[in-house]
Amino acid sequence: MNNNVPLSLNDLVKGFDGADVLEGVSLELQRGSITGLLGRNAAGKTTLIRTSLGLLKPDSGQAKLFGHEAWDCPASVRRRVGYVAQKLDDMLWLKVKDALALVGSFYDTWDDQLIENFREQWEVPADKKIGTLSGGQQQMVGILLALGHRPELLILDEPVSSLDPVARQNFLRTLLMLNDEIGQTILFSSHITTDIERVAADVAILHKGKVSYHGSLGELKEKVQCLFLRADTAPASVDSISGVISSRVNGNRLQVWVEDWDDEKNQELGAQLSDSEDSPSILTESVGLEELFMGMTS
Amino acid sequence: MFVIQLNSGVPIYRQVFDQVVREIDCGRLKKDELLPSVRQLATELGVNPMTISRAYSLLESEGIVQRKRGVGMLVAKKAEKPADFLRLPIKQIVVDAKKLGLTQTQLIQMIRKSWK
Repeated sequence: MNNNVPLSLNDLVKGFDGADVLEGVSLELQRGSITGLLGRNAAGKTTLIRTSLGLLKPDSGQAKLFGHEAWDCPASVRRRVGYVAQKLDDMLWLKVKDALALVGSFYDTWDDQLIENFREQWEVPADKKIGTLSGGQQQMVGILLALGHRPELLILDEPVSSLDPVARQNFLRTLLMLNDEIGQTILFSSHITTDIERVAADVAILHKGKVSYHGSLGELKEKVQCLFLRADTAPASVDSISGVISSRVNGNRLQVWVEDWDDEKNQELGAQLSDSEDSPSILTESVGLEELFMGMTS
Repeated sequence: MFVIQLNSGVPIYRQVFDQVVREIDCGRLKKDELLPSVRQLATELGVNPMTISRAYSLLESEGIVQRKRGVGMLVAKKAEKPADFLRLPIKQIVVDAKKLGLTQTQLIQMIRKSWK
């Protein structure tokens, strides 16, 4: 049992009403890493997160927090984890400062000063009832509640979805600061790929019930590339192209996502497609996370 | 000094690496000059410090900068070929031109026009 791994999922299966959402998810977070969790709508990101936290019981496989079964994990371990609930339904009638004090009273490690600083930075009013705040402000209260006990592992499900760009940037900087100062391990899901590019060194892509890629974002960008083939000379089927992941028609070009592409493969394919200097039938391009994500989840 | 393009196909650590090389090649960073610390640059750009530290390690392993204990990263080399820093933008323009279906001659004509 390795107590140093903040979160480890091993062949995790979880379904609802007979349909599997997670079909054998494996993922291990390194201590001190920041990982962006990506997946299409309904890919099971929230299920993955809730099972990781022990809020849902796995059908089979394992979810472990610091080496302990998440579903049955002692309070001492649970305290090392912070989670932002998507809704604060139980607390809408509380003032922000009272909610913070209430949750803070459960923890002996609660850091009032830290939370007060963030609350001011993020311009969250202390004296208003949570129910009267905007969606974005409520989301920030949720984050404050999850950060105050300085958890070693912070898990965030779409933490920035309701925040405006300024608030989002502030929040992302806070994540980086916490990671830098106390080596906090962070897993966060988001559809905003540029946020993930900025903050996360690692990405995990959840697709068809499995984690189809987990690793460095920089390496992923170097591994997967896009070919743009001229429509008139493109092969009828892309299956013959080495390392093909997927393809789609993009204007007068056929866009093909491939992995481990190199000059040799390029020449080989070029020869097949009667390439010429002035009007080449293949263009290769490295693409950003958003394009990578589209190719890897279609 | 540094500008980061999010959602680019070039990994951020690569962008930082390329920009340090470019700053050296065009003479804005001189030999023995100190690079900003990993933490400072990460904060400034709002990116993960691991990403910056990866760029610095790569610069160090290629002998472009030198790590001096207790001081930081110092520029280790002089500009060799001053025009080298144009290589990447030119490559990008060529890729874009090809995508638009321009011929080599057409692109060169366009460059001539904007030269004036």
